Amino acid sequence: MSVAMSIVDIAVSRLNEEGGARVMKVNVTVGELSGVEAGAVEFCYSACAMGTAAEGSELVIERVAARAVCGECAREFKPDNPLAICPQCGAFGGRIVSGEELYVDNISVE
Amino acid sequence: MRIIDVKKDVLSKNDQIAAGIREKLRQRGIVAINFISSPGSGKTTMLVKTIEDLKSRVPIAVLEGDQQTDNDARKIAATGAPVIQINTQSACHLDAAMVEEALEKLGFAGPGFLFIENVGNLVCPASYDLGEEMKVALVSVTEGEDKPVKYPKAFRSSSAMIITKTDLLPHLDLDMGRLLDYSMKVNQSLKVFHVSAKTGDGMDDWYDFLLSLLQER
Repeated sequence: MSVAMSIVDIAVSRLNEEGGARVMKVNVTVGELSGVEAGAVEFCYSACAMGTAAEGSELVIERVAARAVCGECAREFKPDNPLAICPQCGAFGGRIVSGEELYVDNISVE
Repeated sequence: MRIIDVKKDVLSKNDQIAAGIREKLRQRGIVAINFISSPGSGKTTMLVKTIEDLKSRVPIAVLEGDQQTDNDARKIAATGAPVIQINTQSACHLDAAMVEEALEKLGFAGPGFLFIENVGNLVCPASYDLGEEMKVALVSVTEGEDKPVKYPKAFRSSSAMIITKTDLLPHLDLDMGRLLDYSMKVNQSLKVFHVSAKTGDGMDDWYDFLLSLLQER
């Protein structure tokens, strides 16, 4: 809920900076490892936007898959377990290179 | 219709407020510790014991986060430590704005410790910077071995882990080696404490660690 509210806040304050009547669409990038459930944000978004200049706007969430790079053999892989164990050499604790994103990419305004 | 570039982190506002809190606390010589755990891991008991044992040496203040009730704040208040209860209502975590407001009410001049007891939940509290010096994750021996791998973000964002209620170990089948192995795999630099607030076992290690943080100031 507070994530959806932050998205609305960011969109509306950017609209006010740039000048415009209302926000039509908001593009947000949400990584798989961000700790944010994209479905839950979508669910809350329209309620949070109500009564603001973003009321009725469309929320488009781009989901980013988790990727990690092994510290031992440098292989890039999908960390499908929390320990990020490398499928090639079995080392754990791969460095996460994507999937932690959580940002407002751009907005469409009128 | 035109497209305006934003590229702004959703939590940037929270992080900005948190940075301001951190700066203010440092100026006052306050070391802030953000306690995160599942409900019932023993955060409040741990705090009460810590305050009772250290209050004659260091000033301590507490912010208590819960969705409802001031039960925990009353337990803390009984120790004589200044405390503010934050009721988050529907929210499952504390955020920096709530902490900023509560700090004003608290009026803790420092130097000393500020303990922030987050809402009992290992998910969202991991994502919110409250301006603390460090997060400390608590896990009780009754919770099994796999909390660190089920909620890796909580243990990755923490600097220390306190294993609580160790007096119950004789009654349980907990595989301590596995719990430690899992936590190290999630976060190799995690500092681990084994404590029983009930018997006082292991509390001295925790106090030494806390006091060393204050001395680093």
